[in-house]
Amino acid sequence: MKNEPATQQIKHYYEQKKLSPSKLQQLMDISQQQDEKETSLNSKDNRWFFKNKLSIAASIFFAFIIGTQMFFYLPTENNEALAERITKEIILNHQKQFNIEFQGDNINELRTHMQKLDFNLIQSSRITELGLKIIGTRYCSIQGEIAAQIKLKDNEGNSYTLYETALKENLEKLTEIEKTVNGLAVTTWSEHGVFFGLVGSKTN
Amino acid sequence: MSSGTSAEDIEILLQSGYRYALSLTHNSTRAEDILQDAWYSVLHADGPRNKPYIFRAIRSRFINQYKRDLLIPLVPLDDINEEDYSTHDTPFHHQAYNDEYLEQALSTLRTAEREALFLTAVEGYTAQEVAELTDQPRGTILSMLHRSRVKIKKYYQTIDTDTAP
Repeated sequence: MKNEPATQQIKHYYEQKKLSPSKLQQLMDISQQQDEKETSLNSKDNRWFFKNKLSIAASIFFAFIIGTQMFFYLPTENNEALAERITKEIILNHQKQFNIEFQGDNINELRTHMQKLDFNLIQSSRITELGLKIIGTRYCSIQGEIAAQIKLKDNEGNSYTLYETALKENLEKLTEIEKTVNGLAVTTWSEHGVFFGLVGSKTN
Repeated sequence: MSSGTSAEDIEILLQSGYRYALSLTHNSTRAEDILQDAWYSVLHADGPRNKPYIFRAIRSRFINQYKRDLLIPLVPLDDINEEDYSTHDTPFHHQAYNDEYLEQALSTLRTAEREALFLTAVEGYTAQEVAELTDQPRGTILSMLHRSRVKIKKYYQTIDTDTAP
């Protein structure tokens, strides 16, 4: 490597850097699943399309009529739609299984690391009741607002993700959400000016 | 794999994306996270699985993630031409080369400087191509490349001085 031009030195340095095998596998798996899903949908779509041209035309016509009617009756934004978006966002973030940035086993410790939040991290009474143990945290966002994503585990080793963000005006209007989507239970609530969202395989 | 991309191509693309994210974050964990997020978005949007697209996705995520507290610092545009830039491609260090030193030297660079250096040195981008990807004038890119090389050389000179008998 002696007397190697600068460009070669940098190239050599970066080319040695590789994605960890587990992360690489995870990302490869995701793309494979996506491709399989698309292939399956495309083949079904093609067959169905050719057999049902007339039905498609009729469906489009009725969808247009119904859509036009609904446009005049639906409010532009309602709590249900917001709750739906938050639920989806929380589940998606949980499924991404991001690495934690800061380790810690209690809220006080996490608070010292998460100085950039615009609210104070607090220990929710519900988390205490559920007996979930804190593993660590990282920054994230909920509906564009800065939030903390806290990793938790129960006694059986099941993973949970808790989100905490400031209870802003739009979130204040929300009633508590309790939903199960694809086997994942999502619960949201608020305490002392903080909005919480908990997702995991079971929350009761 | 469908979408005209083989598993091998996907692996090469992900590794390149990781290295690019690493050049931005200089932190392996954050690089993995940003790549993962960008990859999800590419698949979700059914976007093209190629370097320009994934690099843009990574870059936009990096900026979004840190825009609250970290703006990518850009140095003022200097009058540096291609000749100045090319004549600086001499070894950083005349003594034994060490990756650890280079890693430390790279950490002294601003994010935008490290990014420009990575794209030219590793990906073989021209200054014009880096300018297009990063939405910066070509002169700024040349300036950053020049400054980053000077900074790295200075870092090595400091080491030489410190380790001299």
